[in-house]
Parts: sequence; C-alpha cells; structure tokens
Amino acid sequence: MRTKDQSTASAHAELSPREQRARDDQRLAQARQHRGQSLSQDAWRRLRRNRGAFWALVFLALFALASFTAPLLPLASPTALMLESEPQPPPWPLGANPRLSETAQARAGFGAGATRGYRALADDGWQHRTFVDVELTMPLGALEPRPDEAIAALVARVASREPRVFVRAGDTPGKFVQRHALPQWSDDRARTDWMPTGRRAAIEAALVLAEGTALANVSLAAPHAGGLIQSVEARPYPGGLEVVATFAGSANAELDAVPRRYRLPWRAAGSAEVMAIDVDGVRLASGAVRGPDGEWPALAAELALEPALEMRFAGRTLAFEGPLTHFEARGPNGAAATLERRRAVVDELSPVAAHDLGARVARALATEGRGKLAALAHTDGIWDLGAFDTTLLNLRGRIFGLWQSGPLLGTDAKGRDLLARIVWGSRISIQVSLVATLCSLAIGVTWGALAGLLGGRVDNTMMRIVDILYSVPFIFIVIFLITLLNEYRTELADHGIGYMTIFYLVIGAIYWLTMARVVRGQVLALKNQEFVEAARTLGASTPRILFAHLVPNVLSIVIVYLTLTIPAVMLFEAFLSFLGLGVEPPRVSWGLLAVDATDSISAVVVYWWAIVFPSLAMGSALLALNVLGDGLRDALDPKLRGKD
Amino acid sequence: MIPFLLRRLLWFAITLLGVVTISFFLMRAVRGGPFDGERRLHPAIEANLAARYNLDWPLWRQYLQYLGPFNLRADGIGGLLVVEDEAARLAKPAREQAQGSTVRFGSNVWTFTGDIGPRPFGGVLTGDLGPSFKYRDFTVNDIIGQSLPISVALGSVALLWALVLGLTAGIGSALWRGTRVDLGLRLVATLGIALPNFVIAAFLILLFAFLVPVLPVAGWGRAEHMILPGFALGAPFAAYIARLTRTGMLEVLSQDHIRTARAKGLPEWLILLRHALKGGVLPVVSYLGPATAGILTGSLVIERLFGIPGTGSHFVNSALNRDYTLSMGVTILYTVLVYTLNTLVDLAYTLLDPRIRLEES
Repeated sequence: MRTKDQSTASAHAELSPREQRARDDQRLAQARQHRGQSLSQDAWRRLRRNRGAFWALVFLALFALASFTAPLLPLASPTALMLESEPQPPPWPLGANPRLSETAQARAGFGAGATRGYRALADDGWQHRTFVDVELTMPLGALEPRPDEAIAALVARVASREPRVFVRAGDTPGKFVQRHALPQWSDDRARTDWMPTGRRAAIEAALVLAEGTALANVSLAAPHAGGLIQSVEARPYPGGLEVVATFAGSANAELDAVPRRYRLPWRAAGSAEVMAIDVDGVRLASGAVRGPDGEWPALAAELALEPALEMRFAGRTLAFEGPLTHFEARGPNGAAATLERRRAVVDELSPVAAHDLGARVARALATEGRGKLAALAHTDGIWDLGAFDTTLLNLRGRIFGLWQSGPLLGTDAKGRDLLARIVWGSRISIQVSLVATLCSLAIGVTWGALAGLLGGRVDNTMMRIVDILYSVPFIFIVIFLITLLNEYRTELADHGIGYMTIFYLVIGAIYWLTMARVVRGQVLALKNQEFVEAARTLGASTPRILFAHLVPNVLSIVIVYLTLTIPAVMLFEAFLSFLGLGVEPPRVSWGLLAVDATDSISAVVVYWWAIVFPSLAMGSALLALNVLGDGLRDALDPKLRGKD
Repeated sequence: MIPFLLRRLLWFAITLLGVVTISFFLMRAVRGGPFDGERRLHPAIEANLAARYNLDWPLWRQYLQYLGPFNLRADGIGGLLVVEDEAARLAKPAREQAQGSTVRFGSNVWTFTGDIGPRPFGGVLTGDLGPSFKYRDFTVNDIIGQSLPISVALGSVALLWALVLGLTAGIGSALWRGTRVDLGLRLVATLGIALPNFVIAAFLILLFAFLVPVLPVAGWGRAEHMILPGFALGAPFAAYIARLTRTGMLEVLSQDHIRTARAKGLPEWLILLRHALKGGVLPVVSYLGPATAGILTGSLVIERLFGIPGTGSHFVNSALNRDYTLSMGVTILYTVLVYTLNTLVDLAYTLLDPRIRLEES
C-alpha cells in the first residue's frame, strides 16, 4: 500500500499539467462511479477485492448448492450398506479398488457404481421394498422377449436373488405401468402376509393389462373341512406366477405346517382354466386366465410341491400395494407381532437406498430400450424427504438414470459411501445452522434494538437478563433440556412438533445473546443521531423508528455476526450429535460422521479416510465461513479492519 | 472492589437459584420415575425407594429439600437435638448416651438423633447435590469428588497449552507482521478456530496411534496421558488467543511509549517483555473467562474420545442414562465454576489495567 502511494506521489511531481488534468478527470470518473453506491454495493465491491473472502464465498455457494441439490446428484445412497464388512479405502491414489475393477462392473452390466449398489442391494441386513413404476413404451405383447419377464429377469439380476415382483395395472390405456417390489434386504425370507382367514380366498388379476383383461384369477380353497387359509402370497417369478399359501385348523397339523407353493407359468396362447391338486388330493388352487381378446396369455398350472419354507401366492400385490406404514395385519394369531415387526422395519429404511435401486432398474430398462422410469414410490416411514427432495430424486432418475458415482472417498465402517454421507450430512448441518441462526437473529435483534431504543430502566433490566444468561454454561442446560425433551418425543410428535424442530429451536434460542448486545450497542450509538430525531419530530412511532430507521443501520454488523454465528451453530450441532443427543440415524450429519470416524479407530487397523474426509469437509466449510465472516466484517465496516 | 464482589455474589445467587429451580422442575416434570425399569418393582420396594428419595412428598417440599439449606426429612430435623455437657455425657454409661452424629461446641456436645443420617442441613445450598439415581451407592458429591480432579487437571493442561501456544504464535505473528510467518500463523489460527476439537483429537489419535506412536492416545494416570487430550482441548482456544494477542500487540507496538523505549536504545526483547506484553495480552485476559467455560464444555467430548474418567464424561453419561440428579449436579457445578472464574478474570483484569474500574459490564 505504502509503496503504491509513494510511487503515485513521486509521479505526481513529474506530471505535466495536461496529464494532471487527464488524471484528475479519471479520478473524478472513478469517484462518480462509486458515488451513490448503496451500502450493499459498496460492501460487495470490497468483498470482491478481498481475495480470501471472495473465494470463501464462492466455495460456500458451491457447497451449499451441492448440499441443497443432494438428491439430484448421482451419488450412492448414504445409508445403503455394502456386502463387505470391511470399509473400503478410496479408489485413489493407489489405483482402482480391486473389488470394483472395471471387469466386475462390466460383468454386472450397469456401469460405474452399479456393482457397489448391487452389493448394497444384496446384503443390507434389513427388510426393504421399493416400488418402481415402469412406463412401457410399447404394448406388452409386441415385445420379444416379453418385457414383464425381462423386467423380472432384470430385477432378478439387479437384486442378485429371487425377485419379488408385483405387477400392477397402469392407469393410462396404451401405456403400461408395472409396479415391482424389489427385495433389498437379506432376511426377507419366511415372511407371512396375512389375509382375512376363511374357507376360501380369491385373488384377482396378477397382471391387469390396460385393456382391463385379467391375466389370472386365482381362487383358493382350504384343504379340509374346518380348515382355514391363513395366508396367501403371490409373486410373479420369471415366466409365471407363484402362489404360496399356508393353512390352519385342518385335521392334518403337518399339512398346515408346510407352506404350499404352486407355480403357474404363463403361456402365450388362448385362455385356460387351471386347477392345482395337492399331493394330499386336496384342491388347493384354481386359476382362470384370459388374455386380451382371447389372444394371450394362458395360464397353465404346474404343481411345484417343493418342501420349501417360503410362502408365496399368486395374485395381486397383497400388502405391498400401499406404503408399509399403512400395512394392516390381520390374522388369527401373531398379527400384532407382525405389525410391530413391520413397523420396526419401516423405521429403519431410507428412501435414498430405495432410490438407488430404482434408478438402477430404470437405467437398465432404458439401455435395453424397454421403457423409462415413470415414478419412484418409497415406502419409508422415518426419513421423510418431502415433496421437493422427492421431485429432485425423480429428476435424478430421469437425468442420470442408473449411473451413480462409485465410492470416490471410500466407505465407512459399515460400508456406506462416504462421499454421499458427507454431502447428505451437510444438509442437516446447514439446515440446523440456518434455522438456528434465524432464530437467534429474530430474538437477538428485537431484544437488543428494543433495549437500546427504550433505554433507562427497561434497558437495564433487559441487559441484566442477558448478563445472567451469559453466565450460565448454556451447553449443559441444553443437553439437559434435550435429554428431558427426549422423554416427550411421541407426545410432541402428536402435536406436529418433530424432534428436529425442537433441536433447531433450542440451539437458536441460546445464540441470540451476543447479537442482542451488539445490536443494543449499535442502536444506542445511533438513536441520538439527527435522522432519528427527525423521524421522531415527524411523529413516527417507536416501532417505525425501530424497524424503518434503526434496524437497516445496524444491519451490517448484524450480518457480520450472523456469518460468525453460523459456524458456531454448526459446531454445536456436530458437538451434540457427537454426544448422541443430536441427529439420529438413519439421518446423517457431520457430527455423526465424526462419531463414526472416531468409533472406527481401533488398535488394529485404521480407516484413515473415514476420519480425514469428513474432517476435511467440515474443516473447509467452517474455515470458509470464518474467512467470509472476517471478510464481511472488513467489507461492511472498514473501521474494524484488521481488528479482532 | 468489595461492593463489586458483593454485587457479583448477589447476581450469582440469583443465577444459581434460577438454574436450580428451572432444572429441578423440568426434571420432576418428566414422566416416569428414575427407577422405572423393564421389570415392574414390587409396590413395597417402590414405596421404599420413593421414601428414600423423598419422591412421595409434594413437589414444593422436594424442591425445598433439594435446594436446602435445611434438611426437611422427618428423621433428620425431627430427630432429637440433645445438648449435653461433654463431661456429663462421658459420665453416663454408653447405652444412655444420645446416639447420632455429634458436633462439639466448646464443652457442649450437640447430638442429632434420627434414623438415616440425621443432619439439620442439606441440599444444594450446603453443597449437597443429593444421591445419584443410577449409581445407587454413590451420592453426586462422591462422583464429582472422584472425577473433578481429573477434569481440573485436564482443563489446566489445556489452558496451559492454549496460553503457551497462543501467546507465542500471537507475539510472533505481531513481530513479523505481514511476512509469511504471520500469514501462516494466522491461517493456522483460523483453522484452529474453525475445526471442532474432536476433529483435531481424531487427527491426533490418527497421528500418534499409528504414524508416530510416541504418546499414549487413551487412558489416564500418567503425565503423558494428559498431553494429547490437553492439546486437542486447548487448540481452538490457542488459536483464538493467538488472534487476540496479535491484535493487542500490534496496537501496543504502535504506541508512543514503545517508540520512546526504542529511542532509548532498549533491546527489542526487553521492549517486548517489559513494555508491550502487558498491554498486549489484556484482551487475552478478558478472554480467559469464556475460554475456561469453553474448555469445560469441550472436555465433554475430549474426555469421551480419550477415555478419561472426568466429570465431563459423567455428565454425558448421566444425560444419556437419565440420571437426572447427577446431570443437574454437574450443571450446577459448572455454573458455579464458570461464574467464579469469570469473576476472578474480571478482578485480574483490573489489576493488569488500572484504568478499568470494576463495573458490571
């Protein structure tokens, strides 16, 4: 700075009058350019000049954008687990992860990242279904091979296991929408879906085409007099329908114990009536099948009396039609338990994992020219993404389809994609900090401005209250409060108050103290100035003076403190989550990432990436916020420049 | 100074009363007793437990009992208070002597009789934080008494680290202002402020557990156990102190008396130590209060990470275990600590800078 001044001063002496005039003109032009700049324009100009703060701003903007549009980004699911029990290092710089070699990916046939998803899908340890509505671009019958079979096969390939595909009619004639429920978790065998018990059960239409023709009409009769149908479950298997039924109350207890399985393969001609007779000579199932205009398909019954403990039945998608949360379990016994178990299952799953799967299927469909993804329906309960995020997720399905990034930053101790977790985790951190900061803004500015403006005894009292609150170690109170509020979680939820809301508000309510002090000081300095006097003389009311005249003037310092509050709140959220009092799984936040990271430290092996990358993300964001805060302070209030 | 301290004391009492009152009623408002478990207890046992912890009393009475200073238990204050002359007491056969806890006043022996620890005083005001709900055989005082020395040691080490590192870096940064050293130190300081202490701790563990295994990364008992946790705990504060010192030093170094000292030909280190440092570290002194509070808070995480059995880890565990008395007790303890330390810092401030008068600010 000094050298520049000196050089201009020395240059000044040597200038000819003409040059001098030219330079004066130039300066005048510069001055004119800056004249009439508002505070914000001026501040923005200064901020742009401050390189560090400017890049911090750019970085933060990009970061916020990524975090905001996380459902749109082709990231892996932040909650889907992998088959590998061991965390994977990032595929760089030591070359590609051998587990994810190109050949393996090529063999899977789904492009980069799909192998990972494939594994995640295969062994998640949880029960999960996701629905994929597939809009077919051609009539079903015109395709060869048959798309339903192809889809089933595809799903089978994706899921790497027996598919549980439920096919549903489309609403629009000429277009077929098939609904598939995919198995995602490892322990979803031996599951029973309860139906009303009775002597007979009829299941309509495993596949109803747009023409309104039922593909199959399966009716079921209990084997013996006095016997009841306890459960039926149906699913297409590649090439047909499979019916599994269990019975109760018959004379033969052994017969009841074994679920009966029947396979009804599709045939491509005419219509047929089928009847399945059990080895016990009991008529168990009959199906009447008609194709559209009698063309196709027929149904042939084929008894497959495997002594499997799997229970399946052909027919309509029984429990899987609606969201699992609305599942109604009925049965002679164990119904409540079944319901409970479902609830528990529902609590654990995440739509993001479901989305991953759906996107993979959609992508595979698109590559094979069979159709495109119409919609994804998630049957989750706990992590409600909201309309906006769901829209983004669907958009992602349309844009990226199946493609998703591999584990670029490795996976964490449970095999979840670290990059995805960092990005999704930032959402919570940013949300918390913004909401809490706004809370502190509202309380602090009002409190401080009122105290400063009213003055006298009111001011004294209000500021004394702030002093008292200052001297309380608030974090302890907050932890105590959150612990207590945890007890009332269900009651609060009944009143529409989520745990997260409380979390936000409690944090926000403690960060307003500094703000109140700062604003009060500023208002005190401003309130005796002429423009306030003038407003008062003109008869402006106190609220008007407060909000129209004083608040805009203290805004600059408020903004500065806001930028410093945001990182503080972020830290606090991480801190609380670290202690297990903040965000709860399956949600993810940076604090939880830190917990995972430190938990993964063991004496034997260290997963450095699980520590380094979340720390880097958190550190860089907080660093940028701090730098930006300092820059903003310099920009908005040049008097404070260089001071702390 | 005396009026200042008195005023502080008054506000302290009000604050403490507020904290105790609010947290007590919040705690009691929570549904379910502290002894609710999976298994339903026998009603008689429940009644006994309730009687033991005064839970069968009306709320106001429980509150007064918790707050103190009088012990409201019937078997406490209701027990007989026998005043005997010591000689007369000793003259009686042992069976006829009043049984109970005794206090000696001169030649008199005051004996409080009663069943369960008959004490005339009790409650928070007398420093009795009540029994722990989870650690049945311990009072909160026992637990704090065991763990507080550990936390104090850790906190002191952290504060020491913060002061040593922060002051050194700040002074260095001010001396070499505008150079790369300054820039680097400031960047490190900003980083230190930005990074949460558990991230720093995780890095330290990573570093010292696997790359340079020279220091223990967990446990407690020896001096070297304190180094890493202390550093991690103190690092953010060191960063802030460095910033404050730099600013303060820069301001002082540009003042006239420094120029005079230079003109006198004093060596630079003498100027720095004798003339500049005192003024330069003033902002640091006023920051020590918040820093101490922050270190206390930070120790919650650090103690958990490094497996240190301090008060902070007890606080977190009690919060998670719903051991309300323990968690309240630690809250009260930390309120007292923070308040006292803040007052001390204010006093120290006036000693360092006589221009500042003791006012509530």
